[in-house]
Amino acid sequence: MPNQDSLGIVEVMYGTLDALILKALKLGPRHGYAVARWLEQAAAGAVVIEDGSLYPALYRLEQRKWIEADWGVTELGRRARFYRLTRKGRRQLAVATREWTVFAAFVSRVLETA
Amino acid sequence: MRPKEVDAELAFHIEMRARELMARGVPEDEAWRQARARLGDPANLKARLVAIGQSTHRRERLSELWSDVRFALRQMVAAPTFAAIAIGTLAIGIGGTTAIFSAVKAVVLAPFPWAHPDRTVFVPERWHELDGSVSVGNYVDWRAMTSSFTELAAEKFAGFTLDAAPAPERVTGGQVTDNFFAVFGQRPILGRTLRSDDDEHVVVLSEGLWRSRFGADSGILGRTITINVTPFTVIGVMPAAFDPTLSEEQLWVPAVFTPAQRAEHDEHSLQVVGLLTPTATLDAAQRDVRHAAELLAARYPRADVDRSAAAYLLGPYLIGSAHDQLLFVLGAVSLVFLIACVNVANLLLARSSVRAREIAIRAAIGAGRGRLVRQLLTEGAVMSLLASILGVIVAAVLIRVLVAAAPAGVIPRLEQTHIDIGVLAFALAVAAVATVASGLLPALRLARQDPHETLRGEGRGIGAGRSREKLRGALVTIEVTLALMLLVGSGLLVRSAMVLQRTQTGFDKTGISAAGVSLPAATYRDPASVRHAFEQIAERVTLVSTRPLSGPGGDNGLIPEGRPLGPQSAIATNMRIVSPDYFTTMRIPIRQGRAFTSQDVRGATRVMIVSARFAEMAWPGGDAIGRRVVCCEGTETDPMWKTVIGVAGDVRSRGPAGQIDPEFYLPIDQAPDAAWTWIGQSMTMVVRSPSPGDAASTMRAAVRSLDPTLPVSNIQTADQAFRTALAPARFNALLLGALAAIGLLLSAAGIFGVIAYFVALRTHEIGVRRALGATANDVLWLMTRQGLRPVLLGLTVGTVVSLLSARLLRSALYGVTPWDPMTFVAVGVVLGGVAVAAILVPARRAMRIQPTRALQFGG
Repeated sequence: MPNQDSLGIVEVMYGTLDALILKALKLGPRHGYAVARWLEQAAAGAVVIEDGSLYPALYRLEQRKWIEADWGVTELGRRARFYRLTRKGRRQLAVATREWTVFAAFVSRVLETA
Repeated sequence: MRPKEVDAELAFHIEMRARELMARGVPEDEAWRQARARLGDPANLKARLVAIGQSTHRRERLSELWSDVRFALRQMVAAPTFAAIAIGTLAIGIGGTTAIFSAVKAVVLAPFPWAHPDRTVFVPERWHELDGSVSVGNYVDWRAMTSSFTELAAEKFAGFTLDAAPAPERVTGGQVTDNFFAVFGQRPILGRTLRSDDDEHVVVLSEGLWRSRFGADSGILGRTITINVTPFTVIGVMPAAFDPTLSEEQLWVPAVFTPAQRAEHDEHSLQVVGLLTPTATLDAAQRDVRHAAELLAARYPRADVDRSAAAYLLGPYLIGSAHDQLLFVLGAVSLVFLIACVNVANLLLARSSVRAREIAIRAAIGAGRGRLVRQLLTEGAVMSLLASILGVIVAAVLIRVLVAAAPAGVIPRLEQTHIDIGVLAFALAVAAVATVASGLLPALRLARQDPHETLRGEGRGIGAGRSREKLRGALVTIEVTLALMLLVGSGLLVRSAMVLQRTQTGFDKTGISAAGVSLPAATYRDPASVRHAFEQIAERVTLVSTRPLSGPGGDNGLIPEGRPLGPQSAIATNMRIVSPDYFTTMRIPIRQGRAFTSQDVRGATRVMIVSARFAEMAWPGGDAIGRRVVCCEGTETDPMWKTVIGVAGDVRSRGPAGQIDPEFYLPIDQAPDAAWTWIGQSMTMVVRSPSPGDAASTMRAAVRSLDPTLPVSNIQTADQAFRTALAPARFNALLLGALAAIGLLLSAAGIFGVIAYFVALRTHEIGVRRALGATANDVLWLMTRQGLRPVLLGLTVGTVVSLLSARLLRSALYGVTPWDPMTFVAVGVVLGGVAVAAILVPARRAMRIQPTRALQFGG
């Protein structure tokens, strides 16, 4: 559960959510709920991603062909829509990761030296 | 992305989230509430997702379509021969059908440019089941007696001598009643048409004459031009599209009927056209004129005996036989088109079998069935699209060739043919259906197929199935049937043309040249001066009143001696006024008696030569020489008997395809005075000379010796006339022959394709057979038998269908029956031979398959 100090990720930085979703799918196809759970666990309560902003992000990524979606069956036998990283998405993840590293390094350098 | 799917996805998420919360101890109601709340406003979210999903889907479909198109093009490049044959075949089919149907539309279906084409009628006299010209008396009386017409107008075709720089010229024109133009309602491009108060010396010009002889001078109105040595004032110019009777008149002058003409009911020279009142039906008009004709026949029993009248819509009447002719061609083209479609279907079927493996692989790696079907549909569509682009070009070329090759004046309005969009769209649709359907059928079957099985099947795929072979065999049968029908139809027409070509015309046409000469009534006012002028010309060249092979000319009722003097005894016989040397020049044999001599003059015994046909009709089995005949002049008290002095061989005046009419000949000096009016004071000069140029100058010199201002018209050799007369039949034969050749080629290609496919399919099996001891000849026979079965079936079915339907051609046939055995046998042999050749080429390839092939992978 989110605590009082956690920030909404959208407030942190636009575009970061996309990179996180791509990262979530890098390890294999998942449905939307599984993506949400993975993000929650990875963030370990530091940031909160509203379920309401996750799905528009997924759909936009699909539109950009960074991910593909298809109906499939979960381990428990439920029908769910599974998202899969495309080759294009994999490239985009690499780009986003590099950019973030550069950006984060820049921001910390600026903030910490001041 | 459909709203339902969005709903399902979100419902799944809410449920999973709620379960998670419940697992942590949140009460059920609260868990569901929280799970929903974390998605925010569900309606708003759903709307956003649906919107994004839909735009994604649209883009995907577009890019899929584009990649399908690219894939289809790559497929064609990968198999260029297949693509070229399929597209070429379709293009020929589409182009041919479009061209011919466009012609049918221009000639038959397009309305004439008149104000009321549906009310414009042609009103001829009927005599012995024939439509004929109308006498002035009858026309004048019909106008007074009928009520179905707002206008009833008359035209008398005539030749005119137009005396304008640089030289006098003979032109054709019409003497018309002042309401003639009102019937058609077409406006002049300059000036006006005739009015009832016009005097008789005004003239309306055609656009063609105005352009060619007067340089399209816009100031021509009111100018005086000289026609038949008489001044006429130009009052108007009609547009090029004004040719209501398709007679190509170049000028029109008022017809002036004298009281004597108005009372004359037995000289039939007028073409009568009318405009029905808005309320009158054609049937009513028919009854109306027929009733008038009955009353007139009762009133003038001598002149109007057996004379009735009829009314036809003018448009269909003009199109007449061209209608049938184009329908034959259209039928032939449709057969070619069907053969083309069957061929392409065949090719695509064969292709899809070859591609079964590829498609199975694509299915195995995850392409959905819908995706595969869409892909194959795209391929069919791309193919028919390319074929139709090519087809438009083919159609444009064919129309040009058709218009250029068609003999002039045989098919009215043909030159107005242009590619018809509606027709093109129709041909396209049919081609697309054929292509797509033949691509889709196997696609659906493939999509149902378990891909693993196809892949295991060594690439032979499901195409190897028995039912598939049957389908393809059936296509060969259909193809052979269609080709046989096409070949029989064109074979019959070609045979007709050959028979016509060999037809004897009754005279020797080698080296014969003919030209017309007319004596204007203004200069040559009385019969004696006309007679003397023609006799003067006849000293240098041979003269006859009707040009050889140009038609029957005028006829007269001849009454042989012994029969009662009255119209019921008359034999309608073509009149020929000739110079004495006519029979020698034309080499028409005198079978009995003698030819004319210079002693057969006015005042001597009135003599006549009759044709063998007339002699047989007048005195069956008897001797004609010395018998007497009443003809053309005289009264009951003085019938002016003429004595038959010779019987000449029959001549086919109507041309090689025409019937043989009875004819009689009179010497110029003994011709009845009235006869010069009947023939418009015009005669035809005839000269036999190996050089047409010499002949022409001889004839010009002959006319010049009489009067240097007289024009010589229409110089032509008899060979040209013969060819012109044969042109329609030859054109038919040529066109259908060409179509038959295309059809034969296409079906040969189709048969070849199928057998080659069978061979490819069975290569493995043949290898096994060879390994097990079958000889090369066994293999050849096996493949030939498999190919021959559908061909023989097609030949049989085709023969039966042709026997039943060839009757439709009857009106275009000459000298052959619709079930002419020679044509059927020849067509069967040709088609069978071509089919066997098409089978043998791939079958021989099968023969060379080595037993080792049994061990190799695939087919």
